[in-house]
Amino acid sequence: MKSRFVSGIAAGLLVGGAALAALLVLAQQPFGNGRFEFGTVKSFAGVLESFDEHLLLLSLNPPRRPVVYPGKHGSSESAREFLTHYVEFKGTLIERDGQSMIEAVPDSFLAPTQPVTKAPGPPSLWPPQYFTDQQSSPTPRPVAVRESVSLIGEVVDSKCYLGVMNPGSGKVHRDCAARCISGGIPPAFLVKDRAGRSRILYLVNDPFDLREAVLEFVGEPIRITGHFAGSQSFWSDPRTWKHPE
Amino acid sequence: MSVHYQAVSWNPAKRTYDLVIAAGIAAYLLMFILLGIIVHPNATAETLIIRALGTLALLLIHVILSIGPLCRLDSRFLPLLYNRRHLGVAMFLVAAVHGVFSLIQFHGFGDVNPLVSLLTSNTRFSSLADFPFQLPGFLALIILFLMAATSHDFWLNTLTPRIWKSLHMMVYLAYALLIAHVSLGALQSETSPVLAGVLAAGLVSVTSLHVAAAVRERKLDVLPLPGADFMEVCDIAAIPENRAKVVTIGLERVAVFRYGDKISAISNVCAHQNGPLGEGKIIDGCVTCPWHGYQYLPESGASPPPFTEKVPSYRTRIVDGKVFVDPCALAPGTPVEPARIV
Amino acid sequence: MTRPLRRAHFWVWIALAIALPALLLASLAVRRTGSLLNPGMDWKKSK
Repeated sequence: MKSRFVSGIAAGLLVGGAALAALLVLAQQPFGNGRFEFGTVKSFAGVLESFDEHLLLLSLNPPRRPVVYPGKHGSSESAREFLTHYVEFKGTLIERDGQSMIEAVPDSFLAPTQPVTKAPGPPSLWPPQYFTDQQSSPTPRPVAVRESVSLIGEVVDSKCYLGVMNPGSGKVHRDCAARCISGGIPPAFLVKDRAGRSRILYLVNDPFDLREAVLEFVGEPIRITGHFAGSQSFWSDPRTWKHPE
Repeated sequence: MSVHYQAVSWNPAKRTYDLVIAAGIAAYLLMFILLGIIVHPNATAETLIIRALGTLALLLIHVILSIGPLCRLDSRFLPLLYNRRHLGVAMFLVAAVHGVFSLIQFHGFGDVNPLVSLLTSNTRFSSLADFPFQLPGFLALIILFLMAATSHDFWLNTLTPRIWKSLHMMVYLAYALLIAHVSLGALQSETSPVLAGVLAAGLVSVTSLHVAAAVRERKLDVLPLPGADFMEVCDIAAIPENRAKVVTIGLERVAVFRYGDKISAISNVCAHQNGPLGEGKIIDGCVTCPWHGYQYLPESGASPPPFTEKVPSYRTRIVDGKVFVDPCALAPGTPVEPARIV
Repeated sequence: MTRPLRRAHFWVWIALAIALPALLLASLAVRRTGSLLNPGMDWKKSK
């Protein structure tokens, strides 16, 4: 640089830029505890069940965890061939605050036996305690079914929220959540309790295609009405969903 | 063009300029990502990279947009203008990587083409809070791409300086789109007043500098329209040796140079990138543009052979120690006998 | 810079100096900072 003046400006920009970077990092919102064991492939086994056209659930007697596919895909036709079978497959664990999910390695499913369970009942009958977390008791707790509840929260795609992306909620993540849900990732409702503790409830409904309805509300604060359908799932008619005043 | 301009193509000053750009970008990214890993261990790598690149691109466009008005307000900043287009291309590259990472992260690996997803995932145009903020960012990136792609002098010559400059003024639209992108995107989720404050500070700084420079320039332009006669422009003493005084005659600015015992006047607008010739000085007998070193002979406005650039020249006259200029511009490159200081 | 470009610069920046702060303030005003807590829920008890 020609002059001390310009050298001073250049030095100021270098130091000021780095200082600004530090300030911006420190001013960001804290990140959640979501964890995606990226690169760590483990073996899983259990009975593959489906309660929804786009949602695969792996029963591990218990816990039961949703199984999704890589990227923004919920499942594939090839995996559906193994429904109601005891299967072994490879996958990666996604976990946040005791709630978990498995990203399966496509084409890793093996079914060493014949079908061992019957297909569950009609899709609308989401059994109580169908989803349970790892800390829950092996004995399902009776749940007051059909008790109408109104909840405020945000529609998220469960895969990103549980750890594949962090943050996996909010305005910036909105488009990704829409894409994930459109691709078959189970939509979930992010609910904070009175103390601000967060967990997600898988949204279920029949006969409505939640994916269409969800796209209009995803990533925004909304109020929904419905009833618990197990400790980790919530039945709600999207026609009752509203933006809060 | 000038021998000097050729010489400065890759001189130490230009290399230093680019080195400082590279060092600044590296320092910013390293600080953001390394500190981010320490302070936010749960953040995914993609998130840190996207945020680091996005905030860096925003910082760079503020620096780029400040250089122009700073130079008009204080000539000591002129060396920063010297290689500004490299800074512009660097900013585009940073913004492009931010955009591509975001496109892959938020729209890739899905059930539709990522670009289709970008345009269709969020259609809440009627809500400010839910507005699809990625679209303004995408449009800004297209503008920045057009500017970076046409930044070479080939495009300047092909498009002509006037059209080229008009095209590159789209950077202001890109800036407005980026402010919308950040305000309606990241700032909706990130509620720290520090982040909003930093953006507000940048916005106020850039707009204030531009308005201040524009107001100052505007004062220079408010002069009576010329008649047919020579116009008095200043005292000889008002022009430093080998420098110029810039005066406004009619609709255009004229640089009146004093060198030795001679006075010559040529257009103030460099044929290269509209740089202010009157803010340059006479080097080796040639008027040298302060922006990129293009050179012109003061008595004709023509670049010395073998170069071919030309700017309009003006007739001058000296009466009682005062300089007079004929308001009628002559054809670019027309030789004019300089007025002599007796 | 030519006079038309100078005039364009002047008016562009006058417009931006008004519009951009207005946009920033409006976007800060509409952002959702309200509480999304559910007073009737207690995840500790429901586990």
